[in-house]
Amino acid sequence: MDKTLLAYLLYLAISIVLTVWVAKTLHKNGRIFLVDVFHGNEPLADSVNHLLVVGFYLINFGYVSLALQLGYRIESDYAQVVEVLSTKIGWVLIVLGGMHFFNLFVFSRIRRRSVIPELPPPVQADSCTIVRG
Amino acid sequence: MSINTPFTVLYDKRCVLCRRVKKWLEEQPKYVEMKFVEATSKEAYHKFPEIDHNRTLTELTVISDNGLVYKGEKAWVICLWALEEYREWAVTLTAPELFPLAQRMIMWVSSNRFKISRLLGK
Repeated sequence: MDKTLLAYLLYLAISIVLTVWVAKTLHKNGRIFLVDVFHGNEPLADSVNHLLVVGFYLINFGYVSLALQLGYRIESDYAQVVEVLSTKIGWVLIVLGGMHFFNLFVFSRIRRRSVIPELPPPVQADSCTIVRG
Repeated sequence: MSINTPFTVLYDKRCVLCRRVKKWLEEQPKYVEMKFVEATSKEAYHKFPEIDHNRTLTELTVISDNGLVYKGEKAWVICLWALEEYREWAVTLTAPELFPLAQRMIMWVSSNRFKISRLLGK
């Protein structure tokens, strides 16, 4: 088989598996978090969770697709296939990691917003007095 | 005891800045209901018979319906805390690293409020 084509196919296979794995992890563990944020409103949590995962897939597959092209043909040995793959997959992993942290950031923002109404007054009263109605 | 009851803000009617701030506060969405009473009015004397009414003209005073009194910078913080958009700010401002600075700023604004009012026109 043509070595360039082999590299492309391996790249696609590994990238897709990695993306699906990260998205599933996010989907599974993000749900508990979102249910808490939305005060037990499970349909809403599931909906937001699903939308986030769709965005995650779109951005990652978009990146994988854009980064596929090598720009030259691999003519030498299989070692070069491995080298090319490691660079490409490395970038996919870094993008996935970045996206993952961005998602965590979004989750924590949503959560923080939901606890604001419950924050207690940050200062103590100076004294007490009688209030007439 | 908590301040999660409506509270009264005693403000100085003579200063333009105070009236502007009052108007702004009135327009904000709130978690806690806020009433405004002029510091030297009969209503203020009647409602809060025990407090030093001369001091309410020199520093902003907030009194909750269950009798908690907050003065000066604490009163400012409580007003921010009551607002939906600024509750987080109130908590941030009172962090130990920031509060001394916030206190100085509030004191500066309070003691120069008539000068600032003149700049605002009137």
